[in-house]
Amino acid sequence: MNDTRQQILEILSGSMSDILARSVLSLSISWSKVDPNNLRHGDDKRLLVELEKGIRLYVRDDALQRTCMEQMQSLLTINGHTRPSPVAEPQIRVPVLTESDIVDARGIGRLVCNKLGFSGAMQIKVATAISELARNIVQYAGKGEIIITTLDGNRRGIEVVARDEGPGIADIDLVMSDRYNSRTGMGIGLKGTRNLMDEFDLKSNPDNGTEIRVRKYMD
Amino acid sequence: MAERSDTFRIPIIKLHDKLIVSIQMALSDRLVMQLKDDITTRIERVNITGLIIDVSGIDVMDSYISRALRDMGLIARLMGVRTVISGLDPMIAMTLVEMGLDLKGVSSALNLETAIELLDRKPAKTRGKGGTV
Amino acid sequence: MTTDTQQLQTELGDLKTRLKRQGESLEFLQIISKTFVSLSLNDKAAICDTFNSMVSSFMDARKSATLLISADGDGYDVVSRQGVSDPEKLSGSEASELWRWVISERIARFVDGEDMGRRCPSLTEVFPAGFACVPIDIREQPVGLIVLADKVNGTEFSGEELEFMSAAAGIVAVTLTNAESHATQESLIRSVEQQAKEAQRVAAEREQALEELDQKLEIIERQRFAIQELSTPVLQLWDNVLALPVIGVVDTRRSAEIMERLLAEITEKQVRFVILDITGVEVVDTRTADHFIKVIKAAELLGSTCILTGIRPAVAQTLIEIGVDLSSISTLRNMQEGLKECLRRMRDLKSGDVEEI
Ligand SMILES: Nc1ncnc2c1ncn2[C@@H]1O[C@H](COP(=O)(O)OP(=O)(O)OP(=O)(O)O)[C@@H](O)[C@H]1O
Ligand SMILES: [Mg+2]
Repeated sequence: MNDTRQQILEILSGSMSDILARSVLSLSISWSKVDPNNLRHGDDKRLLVELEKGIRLYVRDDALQRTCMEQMQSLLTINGHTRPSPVAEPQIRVPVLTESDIVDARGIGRLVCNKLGFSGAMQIKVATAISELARNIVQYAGKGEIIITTLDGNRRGIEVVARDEGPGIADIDLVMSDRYNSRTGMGIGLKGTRNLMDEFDLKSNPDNGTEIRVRKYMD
Repeated sequence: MAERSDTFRIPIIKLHDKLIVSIQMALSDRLVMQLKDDITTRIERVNITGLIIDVSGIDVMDSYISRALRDMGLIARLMGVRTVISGLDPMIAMTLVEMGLDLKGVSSALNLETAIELLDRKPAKTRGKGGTV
Repeated sequence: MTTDTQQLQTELGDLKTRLKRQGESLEFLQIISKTFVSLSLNDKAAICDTFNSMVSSFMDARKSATLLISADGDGYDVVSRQGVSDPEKLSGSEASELWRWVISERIARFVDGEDMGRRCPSLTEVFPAGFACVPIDIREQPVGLIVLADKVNGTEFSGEELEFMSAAAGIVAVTLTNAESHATQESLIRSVEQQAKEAQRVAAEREQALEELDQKLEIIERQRFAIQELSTPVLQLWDNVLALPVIGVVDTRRSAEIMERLLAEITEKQVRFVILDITGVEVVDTRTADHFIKVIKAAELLGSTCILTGIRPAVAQTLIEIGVDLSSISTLRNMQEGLKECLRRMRDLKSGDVEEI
């Protein structure tokens, strides 16, 4: 178990009495309103600020004070970032070969979004985009894959990459324009996907096939 | 899962002079095609005036599915049957609009009751310039 | 044998009591912290007062006092006291000398009657059996001290109790520090509030210029101002009619928010009509107009009819100039007209007439 609370206490106890350590911790928690055992993004800093106040107050010895703060800093930055990820797999690959894989791919995409805490609207948007990309693979390239990646950097979100080694798209500008008339569908899949997502990047040529990378952010 | 089976079909229920289709699952392309065929055959065989497609259980509505629904509505209209879509999820509606999709040719109703009510009234104009149902 | 066992048992009992006491102190310290947090005290005297009474009651001390170094830095002010009838003795120059000495070591300590009598005879009367004290330090600088004496059960101050006092002093120090920064925050908040009031006043003036609606709408008009802050209020105007007064600037983020909330409410309340009132929108560009059209389209996909009301003259002008096509959308002058139209259509629905959308 990753008991950050206990770890903080141990560090504090290294330079002050247990009773003090406990009160510093409980004070820091109530002031920062952060639960050390459930650190979310940015929480680590707020808790650290409060803990440092306590350490500065109670630890008289300069050197001891510094070590204590350093230990605390490294503990919180590590635990703050390696917190148990809401999605077990940061990356999921879904092979797309048949039309039933389309349903699977979008279902998985939606599940990942749900686990990440995306709103209902965003879950549906991502699932719809995946559906469009996966269907294009089945329709135009025969086979390929959808790669769903959790973005955990300073902007939380999800990335979907649709990749195939099919014939490629000859005129990208044309298919992304309003004057495109599709023979197979309504010609709205890619444009719609671009509208639904925050980032849209299309690379395609006859030799390597097509790679479409889209992203949706939480904020 | 149900849609995995090749023999699975979406049930179509006849209620008085209407056909009611209730979609309660994620739609695969095969199921959509199957449904289009089944509806067409049923309309041909039984004497009805209205078709209600309840989509409250649908997972997403992408370009393929919405086009298929629009097609079903158009086919039905050619056969003298008006189509109402009911129970669309609000977030799916929003996604449709943001994608730039619409369901021209079919009317919408909040739920089954209002769908029936809508069909029981005299023919009305539907939205858009697509003509009457 | 028996004496050994007896002795062991006494020791065990003693240990247990001490352990219990430690547990209690910990709990008490937490209570103190909580008290300060929840009372959000920001006045020095109030902080010291609360603190003084809590600590003395926990220690069961009949006499206690909290002293802070006075503003001139020379003497000590008795900020809070209990059971000490002559505070001036504590703040006298002889006493000040004693305090300076006791806090010089910056640890909690006990000063017995004898030692004290030697250093400060004037206090013998106040604390005949000596006292326990602990300095209050803020950022390494002593700012005052707490003095406790005369425990009810007559026992001496134990090492644990002194440690407890240190911890408690730490808490009061943090609270005092926070109070300082709070004071600066306060003044900031006040100026922000002032600005908000001014903005509200301006908005209120504008509000008055708005047309009068019928009784129900009037209430909304008055509320509109208050709900301005609450992002996007969706109001149930009538059975089957929702109204969404949009106020202020509609950017992409807000429009998504408006859309999500309105659509969710339509489905939840199963309403047939929605009035999107944009009286409060002063600036409309292509994108804003596009957002409204999207909301209206989505509502209609759900089976609800949307009516746009309150397009201001300037807004109408911009819309025409930038070439936005609102021809497929029902637009009416104000919310009142919108409501009338909804009621008319509802009546038509009931009588089974043709619905013209
Ligand atoms: N993975 C792909 N490989 C090769 N060509 C593709 C691929 N994806 C899309 N295309 C081409 O780009 C065009 C536009 O795709 P888009 O998804 O926007 O519309 P569509 O599939 O024709 O219709 P809709 O998606 O609305 O049913 C397609 O008609 C197809 O020619
Ligand atoms: Mg497509």
